[in-house]
Amino acid sequence: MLVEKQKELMISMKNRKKYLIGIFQDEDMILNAVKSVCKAGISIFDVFSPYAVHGLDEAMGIKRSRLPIVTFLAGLTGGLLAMLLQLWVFNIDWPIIVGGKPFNAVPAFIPIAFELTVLVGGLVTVAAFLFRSRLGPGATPKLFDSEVTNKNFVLAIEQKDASLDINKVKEMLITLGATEVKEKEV
Amino acid sequence: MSQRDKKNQYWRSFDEKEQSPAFLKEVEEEFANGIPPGVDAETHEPLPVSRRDFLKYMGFGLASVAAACSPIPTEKAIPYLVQPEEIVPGKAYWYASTCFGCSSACGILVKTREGRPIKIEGNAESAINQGGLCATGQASVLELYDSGRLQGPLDQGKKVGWDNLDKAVLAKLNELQDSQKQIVFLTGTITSPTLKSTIDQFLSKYPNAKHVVYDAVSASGILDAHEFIFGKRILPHYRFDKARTIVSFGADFLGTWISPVEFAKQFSRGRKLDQKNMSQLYQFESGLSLTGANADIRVPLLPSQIDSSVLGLLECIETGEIKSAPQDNGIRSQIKKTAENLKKNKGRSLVVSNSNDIDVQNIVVRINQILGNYGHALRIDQGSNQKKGHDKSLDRLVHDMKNGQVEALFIYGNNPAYSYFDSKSFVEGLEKVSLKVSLDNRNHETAQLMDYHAPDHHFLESWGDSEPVEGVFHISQPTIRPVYSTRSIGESLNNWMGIKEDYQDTVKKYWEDQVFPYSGQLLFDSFWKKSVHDGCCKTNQFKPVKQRDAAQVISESVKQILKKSKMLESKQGWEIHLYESVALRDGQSANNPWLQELPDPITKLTWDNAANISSKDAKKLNVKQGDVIAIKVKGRTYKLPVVIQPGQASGSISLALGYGRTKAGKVGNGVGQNVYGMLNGSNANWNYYVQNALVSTTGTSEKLALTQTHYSLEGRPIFKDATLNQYKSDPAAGNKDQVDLVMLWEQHKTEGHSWGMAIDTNACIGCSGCMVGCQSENNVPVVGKEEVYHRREMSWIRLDRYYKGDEENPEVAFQPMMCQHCANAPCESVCPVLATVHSADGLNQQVYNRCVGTRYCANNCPYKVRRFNWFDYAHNKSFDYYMNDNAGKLALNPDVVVRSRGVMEKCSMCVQRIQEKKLEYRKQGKPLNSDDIKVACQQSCPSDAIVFGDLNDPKSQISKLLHKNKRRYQVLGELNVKPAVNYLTKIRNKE
Amino acid sequence: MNCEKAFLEKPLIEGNKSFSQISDEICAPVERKPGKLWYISFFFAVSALTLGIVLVTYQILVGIGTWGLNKTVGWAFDITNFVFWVGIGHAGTLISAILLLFRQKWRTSVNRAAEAMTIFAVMCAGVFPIIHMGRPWLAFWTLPYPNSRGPLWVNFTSPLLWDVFAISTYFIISFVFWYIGMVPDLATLRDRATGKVKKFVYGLFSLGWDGSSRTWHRYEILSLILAGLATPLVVSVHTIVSMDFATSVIPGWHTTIFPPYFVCGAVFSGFAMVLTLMIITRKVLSLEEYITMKHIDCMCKIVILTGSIVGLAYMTEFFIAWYSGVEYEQYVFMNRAKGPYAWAYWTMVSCNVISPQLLWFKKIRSNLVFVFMLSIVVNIGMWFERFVIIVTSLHRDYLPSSWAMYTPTFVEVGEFIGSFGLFFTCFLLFARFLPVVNMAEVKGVLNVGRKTEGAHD
Repeated sequence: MLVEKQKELMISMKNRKKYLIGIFQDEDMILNAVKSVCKAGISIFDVFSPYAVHGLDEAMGIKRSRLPIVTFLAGLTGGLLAMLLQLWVFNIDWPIIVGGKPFNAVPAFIPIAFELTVLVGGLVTVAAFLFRSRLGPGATPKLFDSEVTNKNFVLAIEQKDASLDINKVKEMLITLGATEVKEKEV
Repeated sequence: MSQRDKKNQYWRSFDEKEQSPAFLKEVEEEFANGIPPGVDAETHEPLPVSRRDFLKYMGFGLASVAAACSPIPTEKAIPYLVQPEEIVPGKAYWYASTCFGCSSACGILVKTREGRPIKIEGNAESAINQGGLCATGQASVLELYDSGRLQGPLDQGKKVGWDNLDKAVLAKLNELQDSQKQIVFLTGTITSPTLKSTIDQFLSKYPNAKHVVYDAVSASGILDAHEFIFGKRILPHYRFDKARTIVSFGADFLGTWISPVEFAKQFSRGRKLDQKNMSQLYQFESGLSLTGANADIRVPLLPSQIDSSVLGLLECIETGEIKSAPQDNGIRSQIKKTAENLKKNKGRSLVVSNSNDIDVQNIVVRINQILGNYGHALRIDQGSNQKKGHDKSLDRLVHDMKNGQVEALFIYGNNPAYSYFDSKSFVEGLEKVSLKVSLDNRNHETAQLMDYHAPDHHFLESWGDSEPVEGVFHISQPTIRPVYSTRSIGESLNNWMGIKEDYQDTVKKYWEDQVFPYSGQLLFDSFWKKSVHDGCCKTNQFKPVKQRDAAQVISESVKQILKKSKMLESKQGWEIHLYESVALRDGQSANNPWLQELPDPITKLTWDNAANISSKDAKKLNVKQGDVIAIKVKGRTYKLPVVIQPGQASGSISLALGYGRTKAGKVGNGVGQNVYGMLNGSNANWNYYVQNALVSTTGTSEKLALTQTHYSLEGRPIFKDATLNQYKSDPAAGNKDQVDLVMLWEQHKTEGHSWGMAIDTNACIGCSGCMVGCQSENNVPVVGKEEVYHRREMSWIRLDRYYKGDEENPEVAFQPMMCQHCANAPCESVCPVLATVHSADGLNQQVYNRCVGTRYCANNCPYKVRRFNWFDYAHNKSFDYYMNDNAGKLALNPDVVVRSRGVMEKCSMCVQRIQEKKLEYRKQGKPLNSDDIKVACQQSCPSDAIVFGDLNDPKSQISKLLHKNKRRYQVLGELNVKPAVNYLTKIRNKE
Repeated sequence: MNCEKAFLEKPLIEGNKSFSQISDEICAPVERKPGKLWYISFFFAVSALTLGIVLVTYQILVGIGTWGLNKTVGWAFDITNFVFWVGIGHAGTLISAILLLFRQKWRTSVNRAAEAMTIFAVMCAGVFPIIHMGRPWLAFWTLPYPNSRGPLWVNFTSPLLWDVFAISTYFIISFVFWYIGMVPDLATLRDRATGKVKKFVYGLFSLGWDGSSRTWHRYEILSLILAGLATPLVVSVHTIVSMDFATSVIPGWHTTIFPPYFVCGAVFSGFAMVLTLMIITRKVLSLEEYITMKHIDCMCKIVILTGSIVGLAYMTEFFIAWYSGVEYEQYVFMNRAKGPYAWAYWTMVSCNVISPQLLWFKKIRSNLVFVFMLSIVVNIGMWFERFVIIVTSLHRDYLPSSWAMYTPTFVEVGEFIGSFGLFFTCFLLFARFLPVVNMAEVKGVLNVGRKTEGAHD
């Protein structure tokens, strides 16, 4: 389901679409609203909030992100490459006597290998995050409400099939505590 | 070029003479690409500095080989090892010559590269120094390139041509031809027989001519005593190697006295542990001297107590009882012990004194006579020529000058306006002399008062010879064309006598007449060639002296000494002891930056002289190190900073002579204080100590540029020693804390060679010659007083000096310390850019190019032997010593790079020398004999304390020396850094 | 941590604020023209920075000789300043990362500024290893890049090279952490911006943030990952810095206790510096209700803890020196306490060990003036700790022949002042153009509309 949503989202980037949005003022309400709307079988396009509302991902059925796997693989690569580079340099490319130490001075190679594990792991994870979330310099935000980065919690429902009774949903949102319900093309 | 001058100009071709149009055009085109440097753009005349610039532009390039320094400097000079057709660029040629850095006249080898001398080393063939050379001698190469030398003849301070100078001097001389007034030639000690005979010949033309010899630090007392007793004014030739008991009263024979390198060689030979007996040295002195530091038994005494102690020793030897020595039980018992020891070693002992008092020296002669030392440890049939000065004759000359009895004065090789104790009288007298000629090549304090200057060559530019000890001859040959427009003194005198002869021929003729007949050789030509090649020869010329028993004639001396010591007992005040410093000696070389920056081996002071006082006296005066005190002597006040010196006799203050020059040059001017004025010179010979000085504090203090400020070993096992008896019962005495250390990993194996060094601290006397040798070889910069004060001296090798025991009379330890080339070098593993790494043959290498200058290696060096280039020393007006100078740059060794700012440097174990020998042997297809490689410090060492070689070669000298040697230890060996430098424990011959 | 209980009783943010109030108040310093105080401070900071730049230029032109170092003491002010600044740089990441992992909510209003402090402190720290080189223009030689000089690499076994990697990694990761944490707030600023330029700039740097729940989800995970990476990083960086000394052979440096001791010292000095800055910032930017007395109280307690650990480390060093039986070791420590630099040692002890003990008293902890002074005293003490470790170990090591003294020159002192100039210039610019408090996180801990005990962190 998530993948489909994503696909739709991608299409929506190209052509503007109509959404029904409900604006809420606090996180308990939006959590409640999301749960109720899902229960009603209406698929939610997305919820926008000024901060991370906990429990929302579960309510919306968002699967746990796979970023940690990315971090693990990237970190492993970084660390291994660093260790291999150091071993290669001191054993093969340029074996030179330094301080009487053996060429395979592995303990001395650990600090740099560790640092590169962290560096590569961190940077790749950030890159993966930006890529996955389509964030980056120049990316245009999908703003349903100008106050979403300030105080408003926004629940957006895409009006894609006619079967959706807009008025009924509107009513439902108002009952759930929405201070404002409107239709918007984004 | 003015019309008038044209007549006097030389012409190169007829075209030039006729000024033909073709020639003029050619001249114009010659400079089509601009006027060459050093030539005035408008007048096309050479600028005043052109000669220097000439060297600058020509000195380095290949062109110089052809032009400035043509194949062999002077036509007939013969190189030491090979006779080249042409000079091969990049190859060093060695010439044998004589050192005239002081009057010891050691034999030297001069290393030249591309025609310029760059290093002076001792000549192993010389019977005098036998391969060693002192700091002063090695540093004298720098004076060759000193731009502060006179660069041409002067007439009343104005530059003239040599012809004009000769004309003017001759005109004056002709006027004096029949004058009954004196014509005086005032020189320092002249060891050159040829020059001596030339001067005599010159003076013989005038009816009332005199040759006055004057040494700033004289040995007149010894000469006078021998004249008094034996009827011949002669300086004995001392042989310290023949003595098993050596007693010295104030004579610093290892540092400065008469012929220190020769004596150090002899002394160290007598101290070898592998022979049956090791000599024992007793030193009675006031200030701690280098010799005192090496003494087995040292007795600190006030200067005035030394005279009566000498008498006490005589009494004790004669009767076993002491009557006259100082009323101090400690001193008396030491004298007694000394006497007993001397008596046990009759004929194998030596008593010397540096006193200039004829009475004291008479007693010393008597003691040596009783002990039967004449003919063994000191010889007068083959006496020494190294000190000839006659104090009274200078006093008389000054008296005569003041009375207007001197018509003409020639000076050469001395500087009385600076170093005569009554220089004021000398200068006053000089004003009454009508012809004043200086033949010195520096415009020093005395020379600048003269009318005419006929500057002599530097000794590396001229022919000459020397006879330091009768029957031992050295030759001196030019190794470069004169850098400046100077002329050898012999040639000047020849010219003024109207003799048209090269001085080279004069020397050769003298040798043919005076040396060759006694040489036992058949053909003069081959004798001459061999002599020039070897630099020295010996003759069997003996001039036996009639022995006389001194006992008959010394009773007056005994009375005098007793009278004097009685007088002294009632006197109050401080006693001042004046001494020559190891680096500057009498001050002639004060403009030499290497010597100014060479730390005194004892005080470790550079760029200054100070008042050395005992810690007891410092407490009494309430002064700290560096506080300035005022010393009032003979109505004059001298202000000097205090150095608190362990071993200094309480109540005495030691001051170094040779400082406080005012006309030495840009380096030496105003460094320290001139204390020659303190000399006691009334009636008798000049005394190098004064009584009744008044000392007061001034409340100010000065920065002291010391290279070592902490002298205690703090009980650390860094320097190891034992007494001779301990050593005899156990060779590992003092060296028992050796432990086997565990390695966490497998050690890298050295491939082929494994370079190492052994330093025998038992042989090292601390003379510091190695420091200048290293500086000269490795282009180590001079950084000046301020930087030394900041502890940034650059010397790659330093002489650590520690004191042990009683502060009043400590045991002294000298430990040469340079990069230890550790196998597990702590410096290497911390360098982030691999600028210091290890070679397969065991050298710790510093890669200047790669160094970024984090100084981490220096911090992590437990020996603190790494040196950082804090500034650009080579081309920097703030460090205008020699590297910033166009002429001075010529003294650099082209085999060693001049380091840039911001990089680390350190001892490389003279890797260039290793490489040179490696290549030489490879070319010959022979396996390398590592004993053939001599690193610079090792080469210069007069006591053979340093041995370098291949530790992997069991036949090498170093392997043999270290193999199973129980005295072997490594400094800080417990850190498991595995240094390649090994030390051997010091053995003291005492209880 | 026992702070937590106190915070559950009272809200973290005082004044019962609404979301928009928070946005308004925190964005206010960015949106309005700065006050006189800011301009005055900025003037002084830039002056100090200029002094530093002039002196560094002079020093690079003339040579390291313009410093007071010598053949025995090869490092002094330079590396002291380096370690000092790195140490200060530790609190920021620690507050953000470790406290995030430990789910300490009180960090939310101080972490942004603390992270900024980290970054600027690391910048200041990074300057010194570069300018302390004899040939700083070749500093890039410390990087292992392929080159045309044949096989020519760097020394991977050198602690200085570890430093190069550690410090640059630390800077990059800290910067990324700080920046990523700022993206939602930048979006807030973007949406509030009125001017075109502001909108564009904030728009550019907010990376198109729209507050989507999916992004927030990943964002939370990313924060945790970065925190998880940064925490060992903080520990590793100061461990590696301590290895500059610990892996050497110099008595007083060659000590296995150094890594934990340095890390604790770093946290100690870092928190002291955070205190200094927070007390100024809350006053100058009127953020008293965000950075409350509780924050200060909590940081004071960390200062006591770490200060005591540092004191314990000092004692351990002495004990081990005595216990080892190595005379060189023993001498170094006696020399610290009784030698020519004893004044520095006792300054260090009184500032670092004795003075923080006063914070046991609640009255003192709640006296802002006193806490402010104390935080400065601790920073002075920690600077002296590095000075004592570096200079007293070097100036009298193995061979007494090379023992020497060190005195700084005006160039060194001036460059140290210059580093403060750089730090405060950066910090003032940060306070002027970026939100000093993490709005998104503060909003998260407000508990607006939460009826249930949430799991917010």
